[in-house]
Amino acid sequence: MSSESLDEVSRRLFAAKEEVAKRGETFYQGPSKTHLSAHPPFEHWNNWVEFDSKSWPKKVTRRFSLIPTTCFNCESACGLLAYVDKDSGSVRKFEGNPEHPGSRGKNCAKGPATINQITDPDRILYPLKRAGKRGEGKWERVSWDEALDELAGRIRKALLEERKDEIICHIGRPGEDGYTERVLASWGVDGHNSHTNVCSSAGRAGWQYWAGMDRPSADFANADVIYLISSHLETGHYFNPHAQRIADAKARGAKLIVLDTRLSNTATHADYWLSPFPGSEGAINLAIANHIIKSKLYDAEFIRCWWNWEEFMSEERPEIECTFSNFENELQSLYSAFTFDYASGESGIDASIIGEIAGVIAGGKTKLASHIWRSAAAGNLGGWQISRSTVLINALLGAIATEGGTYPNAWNKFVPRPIHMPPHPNVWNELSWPTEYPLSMNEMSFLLPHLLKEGKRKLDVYFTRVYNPVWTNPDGMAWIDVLTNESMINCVVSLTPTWNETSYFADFVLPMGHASERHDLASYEQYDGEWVAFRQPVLRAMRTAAGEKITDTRQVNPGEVWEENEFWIELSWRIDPDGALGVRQYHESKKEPGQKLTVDEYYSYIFENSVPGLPEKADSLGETPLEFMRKRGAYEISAKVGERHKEEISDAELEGSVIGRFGRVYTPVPKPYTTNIVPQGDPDPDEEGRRPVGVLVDGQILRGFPTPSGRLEFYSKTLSDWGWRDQALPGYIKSHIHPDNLAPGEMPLISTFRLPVQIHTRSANSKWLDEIAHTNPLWIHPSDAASKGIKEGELVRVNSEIGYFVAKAWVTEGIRPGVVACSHHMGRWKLSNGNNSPMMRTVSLENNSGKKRLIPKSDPTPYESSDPDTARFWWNDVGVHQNLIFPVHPDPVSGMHCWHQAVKVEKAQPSDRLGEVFVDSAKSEEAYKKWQSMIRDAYSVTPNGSRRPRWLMRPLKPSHEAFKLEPRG
Amino acid sequence: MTLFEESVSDISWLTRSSEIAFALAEVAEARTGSTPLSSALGMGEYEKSDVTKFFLFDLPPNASIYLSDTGNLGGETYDTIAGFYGVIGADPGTQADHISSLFSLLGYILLSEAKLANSVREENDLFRNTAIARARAVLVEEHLLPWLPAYLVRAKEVAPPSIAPWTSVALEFFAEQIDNIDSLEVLNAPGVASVDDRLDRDLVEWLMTPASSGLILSNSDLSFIARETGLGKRVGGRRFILKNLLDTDKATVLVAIQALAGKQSELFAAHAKTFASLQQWSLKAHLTSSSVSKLIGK
Repeated sequence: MSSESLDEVSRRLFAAKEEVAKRGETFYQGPSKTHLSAHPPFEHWNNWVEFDSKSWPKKVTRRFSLIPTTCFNCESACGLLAYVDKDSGSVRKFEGNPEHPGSRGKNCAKGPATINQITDPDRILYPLKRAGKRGEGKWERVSWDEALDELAGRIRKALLEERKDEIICHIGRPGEDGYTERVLASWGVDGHNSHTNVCSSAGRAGWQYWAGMDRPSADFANADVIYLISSHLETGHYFNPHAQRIADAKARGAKLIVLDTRLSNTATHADYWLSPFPGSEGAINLAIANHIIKSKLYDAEFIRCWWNWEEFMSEERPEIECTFSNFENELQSLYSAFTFDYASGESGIDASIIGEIAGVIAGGKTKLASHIWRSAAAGNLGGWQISRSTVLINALLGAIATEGGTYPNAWNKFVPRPIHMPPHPNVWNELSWPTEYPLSMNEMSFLLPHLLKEGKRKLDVYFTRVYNPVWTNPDGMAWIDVLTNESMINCVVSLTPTWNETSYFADFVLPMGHASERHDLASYEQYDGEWVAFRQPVLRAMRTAAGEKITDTRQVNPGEVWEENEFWIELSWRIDPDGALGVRQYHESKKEPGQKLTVDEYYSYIFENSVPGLPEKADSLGETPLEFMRKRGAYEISAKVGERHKEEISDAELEGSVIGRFGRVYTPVPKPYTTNIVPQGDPDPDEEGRRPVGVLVDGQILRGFPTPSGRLEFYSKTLSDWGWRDQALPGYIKSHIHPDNLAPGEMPLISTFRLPVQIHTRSANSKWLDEIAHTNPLWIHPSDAASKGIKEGELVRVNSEIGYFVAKAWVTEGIRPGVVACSHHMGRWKLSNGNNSPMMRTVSLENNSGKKRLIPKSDPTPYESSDPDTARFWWNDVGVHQNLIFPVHPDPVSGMHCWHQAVKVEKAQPSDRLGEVFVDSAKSEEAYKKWQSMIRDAYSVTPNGSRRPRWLMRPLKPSHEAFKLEPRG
Repeated sequence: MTLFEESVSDISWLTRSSEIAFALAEVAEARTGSTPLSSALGMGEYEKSDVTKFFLFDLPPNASIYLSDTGNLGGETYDTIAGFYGVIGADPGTQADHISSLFSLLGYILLSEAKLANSVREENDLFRNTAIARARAVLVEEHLLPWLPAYLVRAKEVAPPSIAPWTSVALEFFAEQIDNIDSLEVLNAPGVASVDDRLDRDLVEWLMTPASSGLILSNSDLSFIARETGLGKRVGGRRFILKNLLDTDKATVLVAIQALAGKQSELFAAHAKTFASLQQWSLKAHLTSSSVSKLIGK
C-alpha cells in the first residue's frame, strides 16, 4: 500500500461519511470518541440484537426496539433507553440514552432500577376507593369513570360555590414544569402546594435575592475550583449529571472542596474535606469572603458594573459620597469580624485550613463553580443566608455566568411555552401562602396540618401527586391526624405509582405511571446549555411507530395505570362538560375546536412552535418534531449560553425607554414574545407602568438580572423593606442547633442526607436498590459512643423535643464528634400485610390522648410472588422513620423547614424495638408556636399593602388583585 | 460543529490522516459488524462477532500487554499512557492503552493541529502549534512505536481475510506517521541478555510476556500448535491454554514454539527497515527461539 492508496482510503472515508450523514445516521458510532463506548448507535435502535443473558451459555438472540424516555426517580431527568423486546412487546431493561445532553448516556443505579418499578408484583394497577374508615386498609376496585365523576362533581361544586381555596394539589416529584400549575390555573384555583419548603427553599432564597433566579447552575466541567456545600458529587440531587462533570473536572486537575459534617461519598473524592459543626458553613463562607476582600482578590470591575452597590450606599450609607471607591472602603469593614479564627471557633475547623481553602477558592477566580442546595441550607434556621453567602464568594470573584463559574439556573433551562396558558387565578390560598410568611420562597405546605387544626379553614379535595407527606414531611403524626379527620379534609386523593404511608389514609388511590408509562417534558440546569428531554410511554411510542393508533396511554400501560396529562385533561372536561365554567377551553384541541386535547397534539404544538431549532432539525431528517423527540428523547437547544446579563437590547425594545434610579431602564414596549417561559423574578414596573428592560452599565444598556435593581443584589432592598433590614446583606445567622442554643446533653442530628441509590419513598419498590441500601443506622462518633456506653449495632433512643425513635448505632469516625446523623429514605412502614413491599415494616399506630406510638409488629420477610426475587430477600432491617419525631421548624424568612434537630442520644430501654417511634402531639404544637414567635407577618411589615413582594418567584402566581392584603381578621 | 463534523473542502494531510486514524479506531472498538466505514477501509463483510473474536480474544490490542514486564493489562505502562492523555488535556477514559483509544487520540491531535495550522496568527499560536506537533511525536514514538508495529505485523498474519485489510491500512498509516514526525530520538533499549535462567523458571510467564520474549502468541497460534501437535486445547485464556499444552507434552510443544519464535524473529526483521523498533523485537524472539531450543535439549 502506498501513500496514494492512503489518499484513496481517505477519499472513500470522506465520501462514505457524507453519505451516512445524509441519512441522518452516525458515521463514528462511538460517542465517547477517545475511549470505548457501550451505547448502541442511534441507527440501530430500531433493530438492536443482543444475546439473552438468562439463556447463557446458549446464544439466544433477542431483538429489541430501543425507545428513549426520561427517568422519573429523582429530578435530574436523565435519559433512559427502554429495551423493548420485539417478540414479547415488553420492556426488558433500561440503560442510558447517549442522545441526552445532560446525562450523556450515563445513569446512576436508580435509572436501570426502573425495571423493578414497572414489574413490581405489588404495584397499584387499578383505581381504588376506600371501603372502610380512612386508614382501615379496606379498598374496593372502582373504574376510572367512577373516580373521575366523583372528583369532578366535588370540584365543580366547590368552584360554583366559590370555595376555591378548598382544592389543593400537593406536588412531590416534578413531572413537567408548570403542567399541574396550569391545570389548577384553568380551574381558577390557587391550589398548587409544592413540597419545596421541605426541600430547597432556603437554597433557592440565597440565589433569588441575589439574581432573581433561584438555583445555581455550576459549570463544573470547566471549573478550576469546585466548592460544594453538601455532597452533590455522589449523593446530591443532581447526582448523575453533576457527578460526571465534577469527575471530568477532577481528571483535568480541578480542586474539589467539600463542606460536609459527614464523610459522604463526595467527601471521599475531595481534595479538601471540611467537617464543620452544622450550621457554621455561613461563617466559613464569610471568612473566605473577608479574605478575598481584605486581600483585594475580588474582581472590582465586575462588582462595579454588576452589583447594586449604589443602592446600598444610598439606602444604608447616605452620609457617605456614593462612589465605588467609598463602597470598596465600606466593603472592607462589612465582613472584617469574620476572620479565620472566628470561623474556626464556630465551625471547629482549624483556622489554617480555612485559610488554605480560602486561598484555593480565591485562586479559582472566574472558574469557581459552587453549589449549595439542601444540606446546610435546608438544615438550619437562617440556612438561606448560607446560600446567600455562598453566592457572595462567586459574586466577589466575578464567577457568575462565566466558563467554569456558576450560572443562574434560568439561563441553562428551557421551559417551552405550551399550547394553552390559562390566566393567573384571581384568588389567594391562605393555607398555602399564610400572611405569617410573606417572604416564603414556596408554599408553607408542611404547616398544612397545623393550619387546618386551627379550624379557620378546611379542604374539600386534597390531591397528593407522587408525594407522601406522612412519611416525608416533619411531624407525620400531625398529618395522620388531619388525613383521618373528614371534617378537615373531605376527600383525599393519592395519585401514585406506589403504595405509600399517605395513600393508606386516602379515599381514592389512583395509579400513575412510572418513567416508561407517562408523558412529560423536562429541562434542568446541568451545564452551560439548554435542552429539553421527553418522557414518554415507551410501548405507546413503539406501537404508534408500528402503525397502531393509540389514543389513550391506558391502552399500553399495565392494568389501568394512567398518565397524569390525560388524567388531568379528562378530569377538567368532566368538571366543566359544557365549557360554561371556562375551564374546558384550556383542555381543548386547537386543530379541532370543541374536541378534547390529545397528548399528541399537546406535544406536537410545543415541539413545532416552542423549541427553537427543533422543527428545522427534524425537517432535515424528514421527520416531524414529535417523531424526532419520540425517537431520540432529547434535544439540545443551545450550548455555551454565556453571560446573558451582558446582552445588548435592541433599539425597538428601548423605544420610549427611561432611565430610573441607579441606572435601571424601563420601557413602555411590551415584553417580546418568547417561547421559553422558564420561571424567574418579575421586577415591578415603574410608576408609569413601564416594565424594567435593562440596566445602564458604563453608558450601555444591557439586559442585566431579573431583580428590582437589574443588578446582582448584594443589598436586598426587598428584605429591608419587608422587615428584615438586619438581614439585607449576605450574613450569618446562628442556627437553632448552634452550640449556644443547645441544652446540656443535646447534640445536633443531621437527618437530611441521602443515599445515592434511593430517592425518598419513590424507590421503595425497587428490589435492586433496596438490596444495596435498606436501613439507616445512627452515625455516632466513637468518642460520643464511648461516653454514652453505646456499642456498634446496639439500639439507641434518639430524643427530640417532641418524642423519640429507636435505631441501631453505627459507631464511625465518618461523623464529627458531638454530632449524630441518620439518613433519609428509610423506615418505611405499612399498617397491614395487605401489600408485601420488602422495604416496609408492618406497624400499628396507637394514640393515647395525643401521645402517639408507632409500634413495629413484624419485619419484612421473603415471600412468593410473580417475581421469584421476592422469595430471596435476605434483609429485614429497614431502619426507622425518623421524620415523625421532628416538629415543624419554619424559617421566618424563607419559610423553609429547618431540618436539623437538637437531640439527646441514649441507650435504648430494654423494651424498645428497632423502628419504634413515640410522639407527644401537645409538644409538637408547642414547638410550632415557639417557631411562630419568630415571624414578621405581612400585616406588620408590608410596605405597600401587598401580601408579599410581587417580583419574587411564586408557583402559580395569582393576579395582581389577589396580592392585595385583605383587612386583618 | 463537533470534532467529527470538520469541513471536507480542504483535505490536508493532517485532516486526511485524522480521518483515517478515527476510522481505524472505530473498527477496533469492535462495536458493529461491517459498515460503510469499514468498506471504505477496504474491508470485506464481517459480523460483529468476527471483530469481537479478533480484538477481544485473539490479539487484544492493549499497549500494556506488549510493553509491561508481566504481559498483563494495566500497571505502570498503562498509567504512563493514561498520564500522557492528562498532560495534553484529553480524557483517558477507562481504556487509555487500547488501540482504539490511541488511534482516536492520534486523530484528535492531528485534527487539532490542522485547525491550528489553518489559523496561525499570533506568536502564541505558533508555540501551541509546535507543542501539539510535539505531542503527536511523543504519542507516535513513545507510546505507539515500541509495540504497535509488532502487534500489527502479527495481526496481519492472524487476522481473518475480512479484517486483514484493516491491518494493512494501519501499518501503512503508521509508517507514514513515523515519517512525518520530528523524531524525539528516544534511546533504544539496551541489548537483550541471556534469558535461559528465567526461561527455565517461569516458562509460561516468559513466553506470554511479549516485552520479554519478543513473542506474540495469539489464541489462534495456540490452536495451530495444538492442531499440529495433535494435542487437546483446553478452553480458557492464553496462559491457561499454553500451560496445559506444556503440561501435556512439553517437548513437542516447545519444538513448535521454537519454530514459531524463529518465524516471528524473521517477520519482525523483515519490517525493521520501516519500523526501527522491530529490530529489538526480532532479537528478542531470536533469543527466545535459541533458549527454547536449549530447553528442548534438557
